[in-house]
Amino acid sequence: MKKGEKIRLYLFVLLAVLLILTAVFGERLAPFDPLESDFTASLLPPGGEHLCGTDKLGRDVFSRILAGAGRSFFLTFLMVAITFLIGTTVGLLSGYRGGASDHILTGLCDILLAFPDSVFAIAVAGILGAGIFHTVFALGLIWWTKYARLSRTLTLSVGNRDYIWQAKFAGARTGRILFKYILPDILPQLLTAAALDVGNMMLALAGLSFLGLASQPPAPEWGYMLYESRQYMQTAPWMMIFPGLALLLSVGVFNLLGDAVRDALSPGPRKIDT
Amino acid sequence: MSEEILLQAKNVSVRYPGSEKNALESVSFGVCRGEILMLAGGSGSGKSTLLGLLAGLLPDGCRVTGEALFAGKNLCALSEKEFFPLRGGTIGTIFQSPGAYLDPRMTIGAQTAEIFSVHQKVRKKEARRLAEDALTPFFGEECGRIFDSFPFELSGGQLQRASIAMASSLSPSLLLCDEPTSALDAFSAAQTAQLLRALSREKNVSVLMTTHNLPLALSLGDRIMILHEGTLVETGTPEAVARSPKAAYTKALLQAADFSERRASDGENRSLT
Repeated sequence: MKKGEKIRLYLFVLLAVLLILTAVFGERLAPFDPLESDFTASLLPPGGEHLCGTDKLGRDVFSRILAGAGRSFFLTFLMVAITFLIGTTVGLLSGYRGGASDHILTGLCDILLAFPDSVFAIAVAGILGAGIFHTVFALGLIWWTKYARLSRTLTLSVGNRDYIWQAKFAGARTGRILFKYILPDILPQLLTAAALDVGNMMLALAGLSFLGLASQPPAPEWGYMLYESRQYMQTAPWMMIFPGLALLLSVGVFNLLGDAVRDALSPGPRKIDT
Repeated sequence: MSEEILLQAKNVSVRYPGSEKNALESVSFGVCRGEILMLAGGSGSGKSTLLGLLAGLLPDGCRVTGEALFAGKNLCALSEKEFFPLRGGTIGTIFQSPGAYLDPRMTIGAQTAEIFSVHQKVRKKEARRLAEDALTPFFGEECGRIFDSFPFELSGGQLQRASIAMASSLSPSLLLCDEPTSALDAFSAAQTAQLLRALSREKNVSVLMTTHNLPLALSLGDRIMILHEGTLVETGTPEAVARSPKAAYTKALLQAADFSERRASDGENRSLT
């Protein structure tokens, strides 16, 4: 790894860890109760004891951002983890087994990938009704196909290597071949894809909350805070600016971390140290 | 070598999906316990198809007729599930280029231990101990170093020795070898051939080895079969085949081998004078 690459990777890992720590301890760090309304202090501008101002119910925006981080991050990581696990398992099996089930899976993935994810999720959430579980379900329904497709392609290329063939001849069963021989070979690529996906997932969840399809009041959630602030865009822009900045920062850090991980893991032409 | 028949193939034919022609055409032969049976033939003659059939690893959709009786079971009609304990257990396999056929991410020791965890379902520690025991007779004092080496750290000859150790670690009764010497230098090839001979003589293992190297087949085999375009054209002891070949293809093969040998000895004579 080049020195610059290494520094970049460590920097973004550090930033991501800081963000995650903030999210985990956010509720305890918050100076005010994020749910407590105080009508004498509604729509106060930033400054004084309210670092980022207050919203229409007089709730401290900074505290709500801190408290909302936990929820946003938890949902994002949970979703990426679940879709990653399901997608990878399905892709591995279908790429290795081939045959009819593989054709069906490829067709299904093509159909699901043809929809833009948010539109599909809105449609599903619209049918099932708004609510965090429905939205998560809808996003998960479409998101796993990315991992399934990637792992299927990688499995196809690795599955024909000679040592996999040898393992079959030596009596290894399908499960062992998949998880002990093929998976470790393709895991770096899959993890890179997942790291790059964290930002996308966070945005997708916030976007759906913004449309009022995911989080329900009064729970603090960044996308929903943006939704609430629409009406006050001109009179109290801080209600929109600070949650927006928090989202921008988080998505930015995770995307750049994903890039750094990809560069670190992918072998490429390297200068020989002299 | 005994007269006891270990594997008896009768009229085995194989056709690949989408093909008009049989890859193997009504092949019949027997393998005795402890014998080395050499299967010679050019590329595309059906050697690998025959080994694939005996290991139950032909591609999906192949049409197989005939029967191959091994330990009372017909290998041509065995289900995937019934094949698992045979593969690597009673039927061992050795391949052409051991470098490609060993997992590059695992040490030789770990890969050998895998065999015991798969087939004997023993714990990790026990599997490692058994793996050491399996490798020791093949490597002697070097065993410790080889055990912790990754495939890329070893030479072709050492790797082939390791794969023979692995293939024979569960004392199989039949060893399928797919051109085990062709990717090796002459010295390692000779060592590998000796090792296989020793296995067949001392442990009474039957070896079915494919090769396109007729001189090797003649020197190592107890019996030779020559396969040409899916048909068995010649079967017999090396002496009989070399002295009075029946098929035209065998004669051509012998002439080619003879020619290259004569060139080699000519070269020696020239360098002497």
